[in-house]
Amino acid sequence: MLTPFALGTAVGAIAVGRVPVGNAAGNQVTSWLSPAPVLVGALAVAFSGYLAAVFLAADSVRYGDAALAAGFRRRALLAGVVSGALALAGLLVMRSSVLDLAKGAALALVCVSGAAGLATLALCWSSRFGLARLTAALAVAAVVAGWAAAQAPRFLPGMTVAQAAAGMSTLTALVIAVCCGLAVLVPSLVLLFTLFLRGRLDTPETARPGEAAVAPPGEAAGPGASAAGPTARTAAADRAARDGAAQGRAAQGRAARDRAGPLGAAAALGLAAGAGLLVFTDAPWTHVLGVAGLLLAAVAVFALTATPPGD
Amino acid sequence: MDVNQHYLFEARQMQALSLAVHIPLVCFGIAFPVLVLFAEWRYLRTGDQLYRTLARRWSRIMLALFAVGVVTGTILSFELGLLWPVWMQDFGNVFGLGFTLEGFSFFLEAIFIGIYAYGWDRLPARAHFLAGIPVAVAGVAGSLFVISVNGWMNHPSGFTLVDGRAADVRPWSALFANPMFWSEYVHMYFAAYIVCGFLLAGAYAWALLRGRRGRYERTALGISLAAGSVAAPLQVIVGDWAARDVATYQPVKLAAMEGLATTTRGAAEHLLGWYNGHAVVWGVEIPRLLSLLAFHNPDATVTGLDIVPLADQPPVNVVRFAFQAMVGIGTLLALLGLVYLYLRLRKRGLPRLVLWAVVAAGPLSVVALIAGWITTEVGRQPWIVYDVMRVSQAVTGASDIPVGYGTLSAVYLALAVIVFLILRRLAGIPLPAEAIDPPGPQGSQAGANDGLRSRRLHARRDGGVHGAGRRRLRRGAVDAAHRRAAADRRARRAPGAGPGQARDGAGLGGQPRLADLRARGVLDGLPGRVRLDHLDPRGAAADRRDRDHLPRCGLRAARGRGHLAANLAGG
Repeated sequence: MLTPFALGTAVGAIAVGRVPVGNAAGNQVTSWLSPAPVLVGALAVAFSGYLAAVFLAADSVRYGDAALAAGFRRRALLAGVVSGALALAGLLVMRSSVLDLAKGAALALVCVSGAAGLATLALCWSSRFGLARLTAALAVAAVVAGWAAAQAPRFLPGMTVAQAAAGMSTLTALVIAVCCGLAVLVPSLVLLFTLFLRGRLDTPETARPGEAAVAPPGEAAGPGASAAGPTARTAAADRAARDGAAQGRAAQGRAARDRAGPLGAAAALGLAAGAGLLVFTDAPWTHVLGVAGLLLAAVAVFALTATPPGD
Repeated sequence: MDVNQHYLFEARQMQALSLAVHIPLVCFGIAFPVLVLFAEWRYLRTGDQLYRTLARRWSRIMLALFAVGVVTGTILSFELGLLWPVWMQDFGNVFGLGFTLEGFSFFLEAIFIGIYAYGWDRLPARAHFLAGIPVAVAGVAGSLFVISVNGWMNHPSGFTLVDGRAADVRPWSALFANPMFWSEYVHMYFAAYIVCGFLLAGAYAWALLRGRRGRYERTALGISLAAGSVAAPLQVIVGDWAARDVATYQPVKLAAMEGLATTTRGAAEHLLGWYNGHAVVWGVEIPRLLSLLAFHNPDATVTGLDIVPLADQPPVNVVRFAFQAMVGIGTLLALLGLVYLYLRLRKRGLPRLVLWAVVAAGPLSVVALIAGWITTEVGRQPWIVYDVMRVSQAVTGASDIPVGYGTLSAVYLALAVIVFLILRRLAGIPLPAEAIDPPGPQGSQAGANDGLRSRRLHARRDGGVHGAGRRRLRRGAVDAAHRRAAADRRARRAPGAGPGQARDGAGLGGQPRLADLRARGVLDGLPGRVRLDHLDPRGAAADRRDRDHLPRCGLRAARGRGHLAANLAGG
């Protein structure tokens, strides 16, 4: 709770212009502990609870726990009402400050947020939580976007967004970095949410069994496979499994010894090249090769020594 | 415009504390995923359940340390802006790109570490292994981006100074075309394996010294000690390369590291001793060695501290002591690594002395790590951007830094206690059946004089029948026939092992079962409503699956015990 509150007060302080430009130029207490920032902080906490309740209600339905879903539904409705009230209060407070919420984009976003909030309430009332998740997220996002639209072009008192911004080369580099980052991050997030929201990472009772796992070699062979018989047979099967595992380990030991020669050679080569290049040369490209050599030696020696002897 | 910050020293110490707490965790973020994936790869290659258990237990530790690293890393990143706002203001446009990239790397790591740690029984084996690879990649990438910023601070470039601000900024080249950066990064990369490897190895060496000589401990020791022992000798080479870069690009830092007061041709190396402002006294002097090491020429001229006024010099004794501590410990670790590799390649056992050395090597490697960072950070003083901006120019004007410092210290203390408790609890989760040596010719590792273990071993030696069935039960995908077999077995309550054969838990927390905690006397004084049928040691995860069937399990357990008795009697 403390985190969204603190962030909300910081945002609120910026929004009402209590953060002056300069090194520690603002008041350390009243910048953020005054009515408007505290209100925004409370709003942030309410939003967090609101989103959590709606999403958890949807999760409860997926889990099949009706009582839990009902509990979260109540909380979602309550949090929705509280968030709406606080947002309206915030609007009133902000109107009397420097933030201009009545102009085009800001007004539109505020209306979108209000509509989404009402839609979420209606959907939660009728227990349609899947869709309610989307409208709740939209409501909160619209508030944040509305703040940004209303704040621009002013950033701090005496400083516009354009003045605060870094130079073009930095911004370009950042946009490229963000795009590349999102290209990696968004599919990962999709994967994560798919796994969680479809229940793949739930407790085993609700998980669907996956496709046949890679069958590792060296496991118990035939006799142990259909061990639905009496104790003696399963004991024999277990002993066969153990022997099979032992034979498997012996086979791996032989394989390991076969690998030892080439690995040792790779290690020696890597070490010699790496040490020689890094210590005695100065050009960057030789250093790259040197590091590669050291890494080769490291991997080779690790492969030789990481597993217990005979494994 | 310099603010007059009374608490500049406290601000520095606050930043140093945050760094010192965060960096060891970063080492685990870099190296640990690789070790965990190695263990899981061995499982996939060999089918040996031990490696799966090892990877699984390690992945829990990895997740816990990652979570703590998130806390300390967030604090650290906020501090960079809160404590040094002028630095952020004037040069954030140059190095900010590094933190942007690191942010994405961090998110990636968080996503996949969650999928990996929670997905053990719930994803197909190969998919689970692949889910771990982004964790390892992100660990490497994140540290690379952060160190690129530190490298820039030591050797700034990629901008033009106009009125004290950075103009004509070239962020990519500022961070990545820095000739000093790569040696610093590779040095940190190997250091991560040293710290992670020796700390882990120390824990298992301790276990071996206490008599827990099972296959699990020996395998875990083998992997972690191999990692540390490979990295430590190679680090000597990388360290030499990094030091030569410092000699070239930060001569004053090198002079402070060596206590070289005046620019000298054919400079000598002084081991130990004390710098009194003019020279190193009471040290061991090796003539011409410094010139030889720094420039590969025993007659080279090494720059001394005298090229800058006293106000621009770092505190020499701090830097010197830290540097020599790092090199000294690093050399010892390299020797230990070579000794271990020799013993391992010759397939000799490890004498107790070596095991004790490994136990000591864990904390010592952290000391070396911090000493190295002290060397480079304090050695850069008084500059926050070398030769461009001073720390005193960058600091905040806020007046209550001591409050922040005190709060931070309290928070870190609490965090340390929490981490200790979490790790101790994770270590206390009993090993599953397959992780202990199976009885028979392979498994007479009964050097175990830990009472509980040997009781378990003896019990298994006569009766264990569930090894094969349990193994199949355990695998993520179970086809219908196996499911039936498993259900039959559960119904029969086949006689099995003695107490404590816990399955490592279905959930992430892996709650130790009441049976095991009871056996160790931990849970005396439980409220009376605790279900006593949980004390049946043969419950395993099947109990957790069929909670509604539990009362009947108690009865079946009694019948099962009868089976065991019959087995033992009948042979």
